[in-house]
Amino acid sequence: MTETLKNSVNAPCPHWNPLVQQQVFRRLMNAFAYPGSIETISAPPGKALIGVLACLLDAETTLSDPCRLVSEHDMKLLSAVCADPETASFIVMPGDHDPDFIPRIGTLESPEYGATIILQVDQIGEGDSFGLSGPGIQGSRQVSARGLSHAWLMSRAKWAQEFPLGVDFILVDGKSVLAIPRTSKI
Amino acid sequence: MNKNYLLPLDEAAYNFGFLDEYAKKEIRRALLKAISIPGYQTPFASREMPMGKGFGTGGLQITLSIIGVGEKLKVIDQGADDSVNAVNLRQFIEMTCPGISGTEDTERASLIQSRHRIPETPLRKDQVLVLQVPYSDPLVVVEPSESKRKTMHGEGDYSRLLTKLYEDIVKYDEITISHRYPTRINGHYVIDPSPIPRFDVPKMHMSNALILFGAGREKKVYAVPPYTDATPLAFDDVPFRIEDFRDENGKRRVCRRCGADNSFLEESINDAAGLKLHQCSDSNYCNRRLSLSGPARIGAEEGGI
Repeated sequence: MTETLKNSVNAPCPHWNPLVQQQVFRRLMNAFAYPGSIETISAPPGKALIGVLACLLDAETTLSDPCRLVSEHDMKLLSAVCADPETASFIVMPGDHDPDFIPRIGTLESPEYGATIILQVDQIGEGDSFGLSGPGIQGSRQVSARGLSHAWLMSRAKWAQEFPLGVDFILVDGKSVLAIPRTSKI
Repeated sequence: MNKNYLLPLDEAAYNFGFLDEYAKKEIRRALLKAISIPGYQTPFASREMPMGKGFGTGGLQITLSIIGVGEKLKVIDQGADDSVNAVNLRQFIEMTCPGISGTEDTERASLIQSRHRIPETPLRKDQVLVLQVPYSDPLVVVEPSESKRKTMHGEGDYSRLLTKLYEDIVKYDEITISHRYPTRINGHYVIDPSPIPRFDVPKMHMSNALILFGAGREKKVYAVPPYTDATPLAFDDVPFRIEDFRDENGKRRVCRRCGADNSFLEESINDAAGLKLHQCSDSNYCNRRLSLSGPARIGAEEGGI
């Protein structure tokens, strides 16, 4: 079975393989449990974004990709329902593109309806750093990402100011992810 | 588990982890939201499992949707690796997840599913603990309507729950909840931490490992992320306290097998003499101590067998 997994990782388009999706999800879950920690996603090589989307999305979810970061082919395979960023549960945006919409932030009774925003950045672990603290972080942690517009952090502060309402961020570059859930304080 | 009941190995065989991939993805999405909103009971579409609700189907569904090839899995029930519920679940998971290995060793395990206990051995960052939850909502004792409870949770309004605890103090001079002790997570949501004893509640506070809770019948998952504040509900003048293991002379009772004086003890009655016996509830912890130091038997005065 370990062999099967190895072969799956090295096969073309490994991110559509369920065994690989599980591995990616564990990285992602770790990223959420320990906000600010950089988790490596090796499948598919250099395209962590589609790896993340493939392990979470199916036809029951809504996805907004206003800047077309996901290819049409991958969009079809994801089979998520396309939606506006105002109503989608998952939003994909380039990190250097300022937010020009107001995402779902959930309701007091059902805060899980708050959107998950996935930002494609140039490089995690480089550029201007900012401090994170909150659940999952011992003390505080310095985080940085090149290609992340400051406007996202400003907007996030507004969207996530009334816990439990808010949005959860996933930053991805080519090969790694970093999560900033709504509980993290910047 | 019935050994004659084999899963079909042809093209109709079950998927890795029994659940279909859509079910896993749905649970995974719920888990990420549960971690992002510590203590919030996130709804999920609990699937029908090949065992009765109440046998840990919630925890099982979490385990099956996060487990992967190479995983070292430990399953415990009331602290023991070899009780019926634990053995059943472990065998089922091993059967449906080829490529994982079962272990009884807390330190070796990467994923631990548990009923009613948090292991004595402190957990690490690279481990995940999944707890099986029979009743997920601590407010159910004071409010029957779920939609009203959701509002109360959202507003962080636990005044009626605190009133219930106060009434306990008035009637019995202390808070009488022995297990499932309501605990506030990250200063907002109060959770039912599953039927772990009070002894285990402080282990959730600033834990190194992620703790996930699954309630199959109630269709809820929730989480206590690592390094998160977990405060049992109490009053300034009546602080939270764990079980009292002191004997009539005020001495801390010890495990009759390994001699541990810092573990959660189970009490049983020695039928022959009618004496009370105390023993670690965490069997792996007890066995490990025994193998390291040899039996500590303090038998005679406790009526050891």
